[in-house]
Order: sequence, then C-alpha cells, then structure tokens
Amino acid sequence: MQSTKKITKAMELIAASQIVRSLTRVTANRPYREGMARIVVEAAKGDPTAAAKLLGEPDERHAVAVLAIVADRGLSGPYNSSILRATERLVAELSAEGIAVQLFTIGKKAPSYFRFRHVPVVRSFIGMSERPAWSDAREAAAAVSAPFLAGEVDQVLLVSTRYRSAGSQVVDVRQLLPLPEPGSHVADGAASDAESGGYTEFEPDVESLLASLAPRAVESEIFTALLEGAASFFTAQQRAMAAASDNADELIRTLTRVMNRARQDAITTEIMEIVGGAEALRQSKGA
Amino acid sequence: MPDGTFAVSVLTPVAELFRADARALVLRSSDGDLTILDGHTPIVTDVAPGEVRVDLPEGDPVRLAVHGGYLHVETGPGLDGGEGRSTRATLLAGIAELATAIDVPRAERARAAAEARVEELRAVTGRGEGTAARAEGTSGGGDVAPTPEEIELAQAEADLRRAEVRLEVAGATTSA
Repeated sequence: MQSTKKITKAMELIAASQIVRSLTRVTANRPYREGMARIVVEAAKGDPTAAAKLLGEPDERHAVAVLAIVADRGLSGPYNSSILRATERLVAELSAEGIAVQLFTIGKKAPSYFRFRHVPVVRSFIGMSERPAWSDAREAAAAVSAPFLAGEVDQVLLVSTRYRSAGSQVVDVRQLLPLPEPGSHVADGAASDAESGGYTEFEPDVESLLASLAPRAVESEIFTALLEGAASFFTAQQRAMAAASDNADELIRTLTRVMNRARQDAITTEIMEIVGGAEALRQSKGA
Repeated sequence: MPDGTFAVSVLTPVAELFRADARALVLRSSDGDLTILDGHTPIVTDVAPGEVRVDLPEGDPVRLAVHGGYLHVETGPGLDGGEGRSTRATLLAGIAELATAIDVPRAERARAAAEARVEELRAVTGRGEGTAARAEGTSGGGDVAPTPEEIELAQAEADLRRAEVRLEVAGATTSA
C-alpha cells in the first residue's frame, strides 16, 4: 500500500509539471491562432460569394466527418471516457438523423473503445496527444479535410476538451469545416477590422487564397485542440492521482488501525490465557 | 514609435518568433517580390517559401527562413499601441526560423537525405521534377487521391525545399 501511494504521488507530481509545460504551449499558440482567424475574417469580407462555400453552416448534411481527440494513456480520471461518450452520443444522434458518419480519432484510447461498440473508425492516430507537434496537426488536418474537399462530407466536426482554466475543462463539439462563421471567437480581431474599415487587397485573388487558407485554418484549430487537450489531460491526471494518493493515505490509515487492533486482540488473548493458566496452577496447588 | 516604422510580428503555431518595429519587410509572395513599408495599403497575401528580411531602424536586418505562410497588413488607429494611424504587419507561418537559429550542418544532412529519398521515390512513382510539389505547401491540394509513394515523395520534396531554404537563408547571413 505504501508503495502504491509512492507511485500515485510521483505521477501526480509529474502531471503537475507537465501541466505547466503544456499551458506554456497553449499560450504560445494563441497569437498565431488569432492572426489566422483575422486573416480568414478579412478574406471572407473580401469576397463573400467565394467565402460562402467554405464558411458558415452547411445547407444540408448528408455525411459528416467527426474527429475525436483523446489521450494515449489512461489513469486520468474521466478525461478519456467523457470525450468518448460525447463522441459516441454525437455519432448516434447523427446516425439517427440518417447522416453517414466518418469517424477519425487521435489517441490510443479511442480505437479500442469504438471497436468494442462496433462503431467503425476510418483512421486513428496515436502518439500525438501528449506533446503534440505542428506536423501532427498537419497530418490529422489533411486526413479530415480530404473528404470535405472531395465533397464526400458536408461538415467536419471536432470533439475535444477545451482548457478553460485550471478548475474547468469542458468537452465540446465544434465545427472545423466549413470554417465557423467568424466573429464568435474572434471578438478582438473583429473590433480592429471595424476600425481599419479600409479596402484590403488580396494576392492572389480571394478565392484561391481562401482555398489554400482553409486547410491552414483547420491545422491551426486542430493544433490548438491538441495543445488544450494535452493540458486538460495532465490536469485530469494530476487530479486523479491526487485523489488516488489521498485514497491510499486513507487506506493506509484504516489498514494500520485494523492491523493494530488485530495485534492488540492477539496480545489480550495471550495475556488472558497466561493469567488463566497461572490462576489454574495456583488453584490446583492450593487444593 | 519613430516615423517611418511599423509593427512587424512573425508568428508560428509554437511561438511568437519575432516582434519589432521595422522600417521595411521584404518577402516573396506567389505573385512576386513584395516590400512592405509604413503606410502600406491593407493586404492579405500568401508568402512563398524563402527568405523574409526585416529592415530595422538601426543595425543589421533580421533574416528569417519562412516555409510558406501568409502575411496580413492592416492599417488603422492604434494598431501598434501608439497614437494615430499606423500599420501592422503580421506574418503567419507554419514553420519558420530566424537565420541565426539555423543549424547549417543539420540542414546540410537533411538536404542530402531528402535528395536521396526524392531520387529513389521519383524512380518508383515515375514522376518528374516538381509535379508532386502541389500536394504540400500552400496550395491546398487533396482533390485527387495520391498513392502512398506519391505522398511520401511530396513529403521528401517538401523536406528538401525546407533544407534548401534554410541553407540559402543561413548562407545569406554569413556572406552579408
């Protein structure tokens, strides 16, 4: 029991240091992501008709690609299972509406979960969830964008954990493609655009610019999701391991108490026997 | 901010690579060479892989190797945090590095390895020079399903281009 506690305590501390590292990366990624959002806004204003194909809500959905991001490892409390359950629910809802689903996953924990539930996975990536690299995001983005650009699916959705704060990480579903209508998550960018108000030039023309920009924006979104996922994973792991250490503490306390009582019982019994024996001897002598 | 300068920042997904007040920003887009000065008209353009030069008000220009990206020039009041109308240039690149941070021996090794790989894969796929380049880089792609060898070839060609850009930019720094 003592050794189990040592392990959970060590994992807790490792997770804690990893949180700091992954949060630094989340922060470092933010300016790029915002810059990307501003360019998309600008391009969308430049040519609304061209933008309409790649932006906003799809008119109708016949087929949808879903990308779920989980971790490669467990021992992190409800982190993996809450994403997987949300994904399963989403797939079930879409299927109920008669929409064909192509499921993509990142993280080792996902394929086995869905195999067990007989949900087919088109492609799964492993080994990118803990320390995501930019090339990982590119690879995954290329995989999920391909069916959309080929016209096989009308929408690409992403299920992952958002890191709101140390105390709050939320599983959410967001649209990757078509690119979400700008404005909602780029309040800052929208404000500065309103100020500039000028005429913006585009090189090459907006349509080809948007066509090349969309996959980059998806890469950026996935990369951010991977980073936030990693941060959330370590937070969940730290919390799970802290709980495990506490549990171990309590178990150790209870077990020690039970042990002591058993030992005390044994001693008492022994004393009683000795005393009883001595008494019997004395009585037999006196008689 | 002194007259004739404007805010320049180079952002990558992993970090803000560079930020300064610059006199000029020189780069190449798919349409040709481009120099951004203070007061440049707002523009959104792609950035071709190659060298990006930032001329500072004082001292040597800063050179960067940029492996494809986008440039966003905005004008408006207070964009650089100061008073009055100002210009802000933001360069977004998936991969970029400062010339001073380029590891030349490593880039040379990478170039040799990528060259060998490209040769080998071109023989397998029977493709000529540059045809697979579309699958990577800034041009989107994804309309035709390429074979695994073609994907690998495109990756090897991209590796080769990156190594060449690095060496070119690093070379420019040492000779300047």
